[in-house]
Amino acid sequence: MIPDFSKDDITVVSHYIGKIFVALGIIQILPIVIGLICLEIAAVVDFFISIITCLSFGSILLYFSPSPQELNWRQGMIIVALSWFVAMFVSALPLYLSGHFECFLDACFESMSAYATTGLILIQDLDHLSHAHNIWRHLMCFIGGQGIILVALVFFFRGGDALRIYIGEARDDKILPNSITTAKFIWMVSFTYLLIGSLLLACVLMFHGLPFPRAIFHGLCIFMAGWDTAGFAPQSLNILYYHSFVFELVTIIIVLLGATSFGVHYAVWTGKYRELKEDFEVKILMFTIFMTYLVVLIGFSGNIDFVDPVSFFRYTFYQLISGHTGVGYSNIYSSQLSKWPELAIIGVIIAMGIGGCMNSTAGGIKVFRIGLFYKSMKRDIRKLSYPESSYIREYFHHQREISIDDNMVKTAMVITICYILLYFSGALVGTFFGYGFLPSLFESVSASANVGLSIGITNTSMPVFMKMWYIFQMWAGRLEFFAIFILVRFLVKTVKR
Amino acid sequence: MKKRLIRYIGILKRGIIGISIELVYPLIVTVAAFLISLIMFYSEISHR
Repeated sequence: MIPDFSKDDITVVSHYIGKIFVALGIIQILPIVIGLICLEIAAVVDFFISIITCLSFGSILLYFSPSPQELNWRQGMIIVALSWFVAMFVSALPLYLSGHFECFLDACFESMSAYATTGLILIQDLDHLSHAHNIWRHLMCFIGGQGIILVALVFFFRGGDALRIYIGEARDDKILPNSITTAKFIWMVSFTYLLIGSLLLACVLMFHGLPFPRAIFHGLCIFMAGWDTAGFAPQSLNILYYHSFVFELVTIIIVLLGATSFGVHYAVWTGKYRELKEDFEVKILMFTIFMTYLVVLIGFSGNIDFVDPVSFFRYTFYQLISGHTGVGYSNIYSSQLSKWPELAIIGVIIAMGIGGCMNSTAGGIKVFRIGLFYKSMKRDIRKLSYPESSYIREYFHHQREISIDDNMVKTAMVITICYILLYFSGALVGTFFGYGFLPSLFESVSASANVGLSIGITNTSMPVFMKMWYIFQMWAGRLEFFAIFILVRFLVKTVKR
Repeated sequence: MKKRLIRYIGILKRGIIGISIELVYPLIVTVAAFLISLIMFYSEISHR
């Protein structure tokens, strides 16, 4: 018999959600510091109000739900799904108070987009947003990319609880034996690259004439959103603002590293350099990048209207790599993207749908699952061509030699089907509201696979239901469904009581 | 704290070589993609 949800479940979930509130409140001290340095008093007040709200809600929940016993799996999943939703609301508060959003829903859209590392934006007059609010937008990308829970994991959770939370946040690989040490390793890699990447980007910008403090600020923002494949930028023109091929090359390197599994980072960082060459996921990622780029290039045949090959490469490859890794950076206007040949757009849609590596900051179906289907198909074909009594096994290398089993393929298949349904649901919603099917599919895949490239549909004037549906797509796509299914069941059962 | 710092520096030492190697793979992807687009561009131009 399936166990029912009890009052204990509600107490445990409330306790941990209280901790998430407190953690989000503490993190907002950083934008306050930036606001004080830049003398942005109005922004400081916005964040002060937000911190008070977070700490108040957190304290109330912690007071009424005292320290619980160890978490079980379903409680862990509910906490993950709910905490992302709670984080969206409370983090939208300072954004809304900034006055750069038409309504609170737009601010919620922006914060979910940041946390889910999507990059679709509804902010108005971004170029005049305060530094404090801007750093908060990018910090949300960084926190979301690492995993909101991963932030709290290091400080607030016990070993056994941590694993249940960690898996719930769509991270399947435990790089180290313990989830908390894995979380700490992920943070160490990210902070080291944060230092190197931000400085490198700042150097390029200084070379192009940006003053030192601005170059550092832009470098930091672009790195945080690039590494976590979110695609936010401090300027409304996104990467087009910088007009620099070198800057684009550096961001390509950052986003490709961001879309690589932390398992591979760990192997390479601990001296197993061959892992980069042998890892099955990296090989599949490279293969799918080339194949989808080929589709884009074939789409452009007969339409190449460029003076030199470098412009053509920048125009096509940057959007493709941006879509495949899920970053959503763009060096062209969305109106230009909408004029791309249909086949080229389909190439980008496929790339966005596939996404990056498992246990990376990228979204989408993930190249690991695509590779798994390929290996499983290969095994089935071999089975059919050998005598019935023979036992056929297929292996792949992902940190170690792994044999394919049917359960693994079944789970991957369920998640892939969920993704495809999510992609098409958004396309149908878009078509219902009068947009063309292909642009609707593009925007829907971009939201669900947490990419952030836009063909022009996402803007403040789009229907309210579409905004809400995209928020759901970003949330469901980021958490890979299971945590959300359990949350829905929990809510239905609680209401029925 | 000191032990932790020493361990971190140890990992970082190996990490520096790791980072350098990791940077090679995105560069290979970019250069290879550039070559494909170059072939495409010139084959298109030559057919005009």
